[in-house]
Amino acid sequence: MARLEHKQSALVMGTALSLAALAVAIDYTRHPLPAPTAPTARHVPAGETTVPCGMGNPCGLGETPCGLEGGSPCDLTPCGLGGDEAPCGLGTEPGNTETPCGLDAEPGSEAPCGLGTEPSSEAPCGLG
Amino acid sequence: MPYSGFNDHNGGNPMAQAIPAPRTEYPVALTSSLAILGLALLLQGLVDNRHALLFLIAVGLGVTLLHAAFGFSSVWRNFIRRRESAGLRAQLLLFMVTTALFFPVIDQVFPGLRATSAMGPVGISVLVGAFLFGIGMELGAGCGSGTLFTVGQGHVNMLITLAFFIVGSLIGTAHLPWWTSLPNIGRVSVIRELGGWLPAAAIQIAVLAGLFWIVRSLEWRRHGRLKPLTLTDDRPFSERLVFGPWSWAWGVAGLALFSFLTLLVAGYPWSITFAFGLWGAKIYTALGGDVSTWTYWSAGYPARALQRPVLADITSVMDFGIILGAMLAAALAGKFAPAKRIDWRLVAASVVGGLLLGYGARLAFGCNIGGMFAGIASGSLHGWLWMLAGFAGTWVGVRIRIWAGLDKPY
Repeated sequence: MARLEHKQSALVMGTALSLAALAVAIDYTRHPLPAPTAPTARHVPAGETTVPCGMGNPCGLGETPCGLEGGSPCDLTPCGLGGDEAPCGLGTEPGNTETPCGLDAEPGSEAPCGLGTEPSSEAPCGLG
Repeated sequence: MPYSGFNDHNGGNPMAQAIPAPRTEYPVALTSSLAILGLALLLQGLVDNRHALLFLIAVGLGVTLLHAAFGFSSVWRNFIRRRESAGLRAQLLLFMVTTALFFPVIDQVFPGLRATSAMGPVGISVLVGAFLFGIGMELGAGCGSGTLFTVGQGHVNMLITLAFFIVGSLIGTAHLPWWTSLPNIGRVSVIRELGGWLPAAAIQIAVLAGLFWIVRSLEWRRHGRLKPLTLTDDRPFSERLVFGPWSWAWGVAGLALFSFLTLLVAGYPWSITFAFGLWGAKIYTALGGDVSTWTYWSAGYPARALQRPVLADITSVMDFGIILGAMLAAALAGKFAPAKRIDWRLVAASVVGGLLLGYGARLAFGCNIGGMFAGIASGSLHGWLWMLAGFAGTWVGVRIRIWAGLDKPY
């Protein structure tokens, strides 16, 4: 039996968190994110006021966060990673069965959300 | 059995009770604040604003969980052992509030607001997984959220639980395809089955209120009085807000707020344990293993998450936020890194508990948060199955704790 005093506990926690931070840094160097693609020209229909997500305007604070603005082009071009994949729960139109997360899921489908059967799913919804 | 004493962390004595001023640990508070700021800026720069925002929301979740001591394992154990229901009533209240908040958004009632449910199949996998998780959270002394915020608080034994939580999650990903092939009725949305968000929310809230009344009655029958969900404290509001402790009611408000923000910003409910499996897979890969051929990791979101840095995985980022938020709150409250007696029984329980937590969470499509809370709040029937099976597992786990000498007999 051992009794860890406050300072020893703090030392153990500090070491563990430092190692975790180091692991995250190493992980980032092994799997760097692709550089953001340059903005491309896009036709904006007359009257459309929403600034496109990922078109020179990253969705975010003060702009148009994904998931907050259903009418925004975020639905079509998800913020952040990949950009070519419709995230689960972001932009799934009613009846769209490519992303069986949530209420748009195919009734009776046994495939868990994001479990290898929906190549378009971007989010770990339903995976806990 | 009379109360052993009001109250360990909040709920407090209904009579005014002096709460000692916290001995804030400023170096730890400063370090955690800088870490939060730095990681938020890093996420904004390396990934995007959405990840940074969700990280900060998770910091709020971590602060709330720590200040309100909003755990599940001790709350369920206290109810089973002593019929103390304050924590359980707070959880049911949280489910009611979030049902009212989540259901209209899930059902796309408001133009421009769109989010999806945390759906899981209703079947053997969830039943067994949640049962194992219930046992595990009693042995490991923490649930999904509890493990994270107690790690943030600096409980050394919870590092062991977390490490084996990760191992169990990884093993669970290897076996999940087999478990999901067992009988199930698929994903069931109570919003769809009950004819829309309004009747579904009304029925679900009525059921939750019924459970609230039952657990309240059981406490009243045993003790002749009820622990309150509020906290009587003479200190100013701002001081209590920053330094804690928070009442159960404040915990409910904070968790409802931040989990709702998560739903709006992420587009799906708060989850925790997918990240543990991901961290396990990455560590296993770094050690020379190969999970890319495993069904779970071979396609879809898990495959993409494996190929990206953990900083790009929202669940991971939010887990980091919870840990750092809890660390900040613990430092402010003077509760960081408490002295702890570690013996072989505690270590063994943490190892076995962690493995069961991880394996169970994977089979059950999430822990008490991603499976039960998010499932129920977003209208997935598997969340209810999780609650039943998880509670049964907790009942078994409570008895194992007594058998193993971790708790005294009744």
